[in-house]
Amino acid sequence: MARNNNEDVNNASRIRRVLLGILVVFCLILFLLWRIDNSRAENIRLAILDKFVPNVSFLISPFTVLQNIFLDFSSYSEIFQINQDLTKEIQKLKYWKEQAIQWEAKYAKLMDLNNVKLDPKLNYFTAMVLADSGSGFRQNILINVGSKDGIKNGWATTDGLGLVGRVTGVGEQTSLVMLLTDTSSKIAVAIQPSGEKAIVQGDNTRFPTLELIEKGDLVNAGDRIFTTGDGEVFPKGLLIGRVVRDSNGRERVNLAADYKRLTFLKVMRMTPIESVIESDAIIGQDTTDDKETSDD
Amino acid sequence: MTSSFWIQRLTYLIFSFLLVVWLIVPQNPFKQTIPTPDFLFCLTLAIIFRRPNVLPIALIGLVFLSTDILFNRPIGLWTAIVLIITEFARTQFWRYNDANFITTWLFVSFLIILSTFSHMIILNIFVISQSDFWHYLIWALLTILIYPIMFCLSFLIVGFDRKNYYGKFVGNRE
Repeated sequence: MARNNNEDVNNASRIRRVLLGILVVFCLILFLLWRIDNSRAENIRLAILDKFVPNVSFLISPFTVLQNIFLDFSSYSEIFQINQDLTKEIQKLKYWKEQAIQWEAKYAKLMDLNNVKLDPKLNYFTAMVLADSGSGFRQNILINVGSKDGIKNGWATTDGLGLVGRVTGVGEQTSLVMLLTDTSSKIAVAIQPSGEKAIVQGDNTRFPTLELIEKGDLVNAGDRIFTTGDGEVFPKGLLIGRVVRDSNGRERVNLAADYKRLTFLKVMRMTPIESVIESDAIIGQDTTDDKETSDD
Repeated sequence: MTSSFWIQRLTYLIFSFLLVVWLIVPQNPFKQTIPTPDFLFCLTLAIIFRRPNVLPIALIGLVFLSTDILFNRPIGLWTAIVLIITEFARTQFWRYNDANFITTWLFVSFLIILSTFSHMIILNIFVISQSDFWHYLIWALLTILIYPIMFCLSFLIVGFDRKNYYGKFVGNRE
């Protein structure tokens, strides 16, 4: 009887081991496939998220409500201070508003004089944030617009003030936005007023680093950072944030977008800029133009 | 006994589902400042140290593979590591059967650190962009720190009763 028991246990443990082996190998194969054909794997993942998240959003909302209550409650304690700060800020803003109105008038006049054509294709629509990436190693959010709303990969998203990230995956009803703080996010930027070019790279902290600054002396804390539009990933001139220095003296970005409260995002609808592919074509055009003018 | 096992497995699934939903709530303020510890891994370890025969391998594989997909992690890698580590924990279970909590916690910390850094090293080998060493270290420490909480949570799943598994795993002690 005891022997039988032992055999049973042995058999059971053997089956366990085989099962474990099969599962581990299966997972590793999945990992390899994910690594080799990354874009397809990400598409499959997105399709699953697309089915899953909208269906559990009714479950997410109680958590969101509880969280908001907690946040509101913690802000009550500082409400007097916040109120005073806001009053001061409103004073300042009123001054700037005045300035802005005057400048706007001036700007419009100058634009009119220059006869500038603004790009009519750049407009936006608003999306709501559905879910966050659950792990600390990826900085993604899921928004509630997808391919049925005409979203395309690579479009920029802002929170109205500063750049938030770019669309990296599009499902039918949802799409994935990679935040600037993600480690895979690298964006060409220009630092104003010096005009230095640099790259904003995320490192999973709230303050992405500024890499590849040519002349570091020209960059000061407080300088403003904009996208350059290089590489045709982003439209030019979107505000990202301000330069700050960390305790090691390294330049980082204090993001203008309020990453703590991302609820609504503006997705910038962007059509690719018509690019010059063959330089001959332009020269040829130029020569014909010349001919025409010479004919005249 | 088998029916209670199924109930415990179901409870484990429900708890994991709630944890996942809580973790993907947009803009969790807790998540903004520090990396999110792996609650599920901790919970799984806690249950395995209390009742090694409650969670079958397939269930753990299923739960972790789905979180890999939902949390935008490299698909499959973390699951494979968790499966190996939990199986290892199961084989070591008899040592910690009547050890006190602190000893178990130390062993769990060792397992967590082992899995975290094997994860990091494999990602490095495959040249996948990722966070630096400190991020991983903080993450492992936080996961170790929440172990007591997950230990308490495991009471809700497998109950207080310790009698069930004694006979099965270390022979008849009583």
